[in-house]
Amino acid sequence: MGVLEGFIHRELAMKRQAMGAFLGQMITPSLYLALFVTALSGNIPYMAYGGREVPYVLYVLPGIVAIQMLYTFPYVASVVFNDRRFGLIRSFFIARGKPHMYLLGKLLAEGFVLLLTLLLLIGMCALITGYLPSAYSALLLIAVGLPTFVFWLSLGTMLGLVLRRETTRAAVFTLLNLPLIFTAPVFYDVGTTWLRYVSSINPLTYQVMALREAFLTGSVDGGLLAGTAAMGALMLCISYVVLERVSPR
Amino acid sequence: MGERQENVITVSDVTHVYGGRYRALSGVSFSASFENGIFSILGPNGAGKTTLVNLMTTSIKLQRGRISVLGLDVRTERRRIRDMISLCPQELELDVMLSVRTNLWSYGLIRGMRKSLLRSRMEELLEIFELTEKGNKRVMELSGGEMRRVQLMRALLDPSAHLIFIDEPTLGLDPVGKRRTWELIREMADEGYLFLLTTNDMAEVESLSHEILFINGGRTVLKTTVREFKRVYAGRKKVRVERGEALERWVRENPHRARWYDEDTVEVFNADDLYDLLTYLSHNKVPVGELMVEDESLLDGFINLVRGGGDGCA
Repeated sequence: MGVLEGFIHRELAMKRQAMGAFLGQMITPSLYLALFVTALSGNIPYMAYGGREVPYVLYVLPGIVAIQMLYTFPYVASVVFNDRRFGLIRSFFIARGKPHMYLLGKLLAEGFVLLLTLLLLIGMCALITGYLPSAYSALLLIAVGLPTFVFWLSLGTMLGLVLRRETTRAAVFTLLNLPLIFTAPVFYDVGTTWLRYVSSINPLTYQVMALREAFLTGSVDGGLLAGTAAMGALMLCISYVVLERVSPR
Repeated sequence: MGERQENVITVSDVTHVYGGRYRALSGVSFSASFENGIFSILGPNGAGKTTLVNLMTTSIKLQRGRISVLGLDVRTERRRIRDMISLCPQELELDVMLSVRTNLWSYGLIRGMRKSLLRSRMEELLEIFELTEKGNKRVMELSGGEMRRVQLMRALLDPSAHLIFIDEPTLGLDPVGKRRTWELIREMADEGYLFLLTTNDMAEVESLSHEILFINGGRTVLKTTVREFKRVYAGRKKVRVERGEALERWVRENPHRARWYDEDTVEVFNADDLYDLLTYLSHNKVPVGELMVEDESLLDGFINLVRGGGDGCA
């Protein structure tokens, strides 16, 4: 426990040191919901979903949850990039740190922040719409949300280790962020436009679909659930292997 | 701390090549017994010191040769080695955004230290390195010398690390900080800790080390003691005498012991040579105009060796 506690302590200390960024990370999605989505709801009060109409706020909430998970990847990539550049990964692993502990420390610390954000979001959503997901839906949300979160965090770890130059890292994030969000059904259904072709190769598409199903219907298609889990597991394995490769041997 | 081991580190025929092209080490071999607890590796920049330390600390993979640290093979027992060593690299390896205490605390936990021990050790080191007041400051707010002190503190944090590798121990420290660090290293060495230093600071070597290894161009040049190194490479003395046939003959017959420094000054390489020369001059009734006994420093010896000036006097 001591070693893992060391990693978690460090991750949380980084959050405390950058309190502004930490609060921003938590509050931004709530602001999305409170301002952007509420404003849009005036024009688009309902969205067709699964043969019925659902309030736009409820339709968008799982999308906001998904992009919140996606946002862990540039943050984690930046930390990992610096950890590698400044030799911290080496020094941790020369001490008793292990790659899986390093990853787990990040998962738990980031997961904790994400959980707080989600509770805030769901609470706000309940205030606005009066809708609270059932306990079963909440469990399903966790079942889908966990591999989604693991996927983006692992991608961030992998990119932070692989990219050698700061400028490349910044360029990759800038080029990926918006296309990922706007080609996935986060704020709208992309099914009828040419975006659907791009959407089909965007992992966020399937993650948003799975989260939305869990949140709104209390059930998730087995294939979608398995696919989301497989993507998360695969990316976790890749990032672990890359981390092992850069570890002192 | 336990008894000193016979050979704490054994390096046999180690070669290391970066990227298949740049040969950092070529057949380096030596053993270190850490007689007074401190062993120093000297060499000019690019000599291969850091590569050697990286191999001994299992930071990089051994390509060719054998290295044993504390009796353990770096290829097969790196985990056990890592438990018993600590490393203070030359580059800053700290979370600069975090406070000094947070850096030490999280590192101590990652090293597996018990919290009570970690807390007391951390405060003890903060006091020794005069950083107690600045313990809650972020590392990025400290001066370069203070950052170096934090890095040193981290390396000395875990008492279960018996062998501590320090790359340029006092780089960037002011004279007082240097002196204090040397004292601390000596105190810890007296308690039984072992230190392997890589340095270019000759005053540091002279103050701390007994045994030294000199490498250059990725090869072992020599392993010796500081006293012997000084005697051989930094022991030259100059004697000004009237140039005459007898003296010229002595210099000609003893090319490994003396040479002409200028028109009327003979330079001998060590005290024994000086004694022999003076005895010879006395027997041959050659007047000694001026006797300048000018000791060279370890730095002179270092330069002599790097420039090949020590050739023939070993």
